This record gives sequence, structure tokens and C-alpha cells, in this order.
Amino acid sequence: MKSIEKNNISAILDKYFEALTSLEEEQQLRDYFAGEVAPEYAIYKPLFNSFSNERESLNNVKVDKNVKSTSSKKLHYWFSRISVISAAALVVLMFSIWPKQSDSLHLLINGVTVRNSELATSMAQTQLTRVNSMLGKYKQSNNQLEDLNRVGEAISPLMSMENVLKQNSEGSRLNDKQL
Amino acid sequence: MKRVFIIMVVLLFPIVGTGQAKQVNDILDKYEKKKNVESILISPALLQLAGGSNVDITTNELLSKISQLRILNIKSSAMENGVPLSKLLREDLDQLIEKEKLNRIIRVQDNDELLEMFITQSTKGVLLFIASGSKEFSVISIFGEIDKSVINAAISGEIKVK
Repeated sequence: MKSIEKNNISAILDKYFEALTSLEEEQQLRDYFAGEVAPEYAIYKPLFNSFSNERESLNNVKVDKNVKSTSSKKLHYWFSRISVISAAALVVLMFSIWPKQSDSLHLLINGVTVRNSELATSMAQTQLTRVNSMLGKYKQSNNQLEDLNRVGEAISPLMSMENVLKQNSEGSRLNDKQL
Repeated sequence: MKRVFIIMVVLLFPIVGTGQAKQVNDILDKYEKKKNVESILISPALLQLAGGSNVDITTNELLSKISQLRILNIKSSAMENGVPLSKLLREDLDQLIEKEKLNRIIRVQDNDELLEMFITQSTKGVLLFIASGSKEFSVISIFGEIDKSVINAAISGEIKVK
């Protein structure tokens, strides 16, 4: 930093009190008054020193804030990690301890879930058997229809013979007429 | 343009069947929690083919086509606001059958027992058995890809619970 000359102090001080100093000039004044000063300027030393003290205390506050935010960030980080791990552990615990209901079989009686797979299976089979027994009637009639079809197929040669006989009898009638 | 339209119809057809299956499910959901109603939901893992005599399908093939089997059974004594619950369910089903044009493929009457079998127009839908009698009213729904092999297996009575 450029050392301020004694000659210039007065000029810079005048400018300072008229608010015309640049930042560099103000820094020069602060540096000058931080060390030994000429007796004629000693009265100004407390002024520039108090500004320096204020500046230092502001810097300290900033540092404190930084320190605080860093530590709170760390705390937040660990808290969120622990929360996630706890939640995951809770979910795993729930799945392992919670009574598992098989999703392959579900029984409701009077609107209440009944956890009895044997009962559910038995009830389902009863209903399927009921339907199957009625379908048995359908199959029975189906079989009768098939039997009728078979009879029809069996007598179809006889039908064609009948047609042939009819044709022959018509032919012989025509012959008789011609004669 | 015509080709695009046909392709769209073909692609949307399974969705129609899925919608019909959903409507059947919605009706069954509506009634399953009521009093004097029994509801059973079975996944294909618990189904099997019995004997496999007249059926040209293996158990695995059948299981791959069926997504779910649902049975709803209502006792004749079940009432709601003075009306038999089975009648209300039948009305809901009749509305659905008429609206979605489900095809009735079997109707069997034996004394006071009546069994009807309906299928959705699309293969990806539902096969519905409605069995009504003096003691109870049952609806058995088979959801999934309801093709000829599944229908034959159902009609032959080959589908059983393990």
C-alpha cells in the first residue's frame, strides 16, 4: 500500500471532511492513523480508529454468521440423513412384522374381511360346482343334439335311396304313358 | 385415411373390453361390502384345470389368459330398503348387459335354477356367469383374455380352485 506523505495528509484530510476522497485515499488515511501520527493530527486518530474498530466488529459478526450457518447446515444434513434412514427402517419393519394378507385370495363376508384361505377356497369351489352342475344340463342337452345329428347322418343314405326310388317310379310312369 | 381409421378402431377395441371389465368390477365392488353378501377374489395362481379331457388348453396357458376370478354370492334373505338385494344387483347387471351389448351364449333353466353366461364383445374383457335360484343369487366373473379356449374350459367345468 502506498504510504501517505505528511504533505498530503492535510490535503486528503480536507477532502475527507468534504466527502471528496476516493476509496484509496480513505484507506491511506486509515493506514496512516493506524500507526504513529504527527502531533497535529493526533486529534483525528480516535476518529479513524473507531471506524476501524467498527469495521473489525462487523467483520467478526460476518464470520460468526458464517460459522453459525456452516454448523446449522451440518446439523440439517445429518438430521435429514437420519430421518431418511429411520423412515426406511420403519418401512422395512412394517413389511416384516405387519400381518401379510395374501393378495391371491380375498374373502369378504358381510363386508368384513375374513382371513381364512381354506374357507375362501371352499366357498369358491362350492359356487363353481353349482355352476358346473347346471352346465352339466347344458352338456346333456348338447349331447342329445349331437345324437340327433348322428341319427340324421346315419339315415341320410336311406334318404338318398328314397330319392332314387322316387325318380325311378316317375320314370316308369312316363314310359307307361308313352306306351 | 381409411386405413388409419381401421387401425385406430383395432387398437381401441381392447380398451373397450377393458372398460366393460371395469364396469363389471365396479358393480361387484358396490355390492361386496353389504350384509348377507359373500365376495371372493381369486388370482389365477390358485386356479387349475381339472383333468383336461375335453379342453385343448394347458393349465399354464389358461392361467396366462385369466387375470382374476371374482365370485359374489347374495343370500335370498338379503334386503335393502325392502327390496331384495339380488334384484337390485340383477337390474344393475341387466343395464350393463344392454348398454355394453354383452353376448349371452348360454341359458340353462332347471326347475327354479337359472344359469346364464355372457361374454364381452372384445376378447380382453370378462366372462360372466349369473346363477339365480330360490336360495341364492351368484355372479361369477372371469376377467382376462376371454378367447375360445377359455370359454370352452369354463363351459366344460374344467376351471377349479386349487
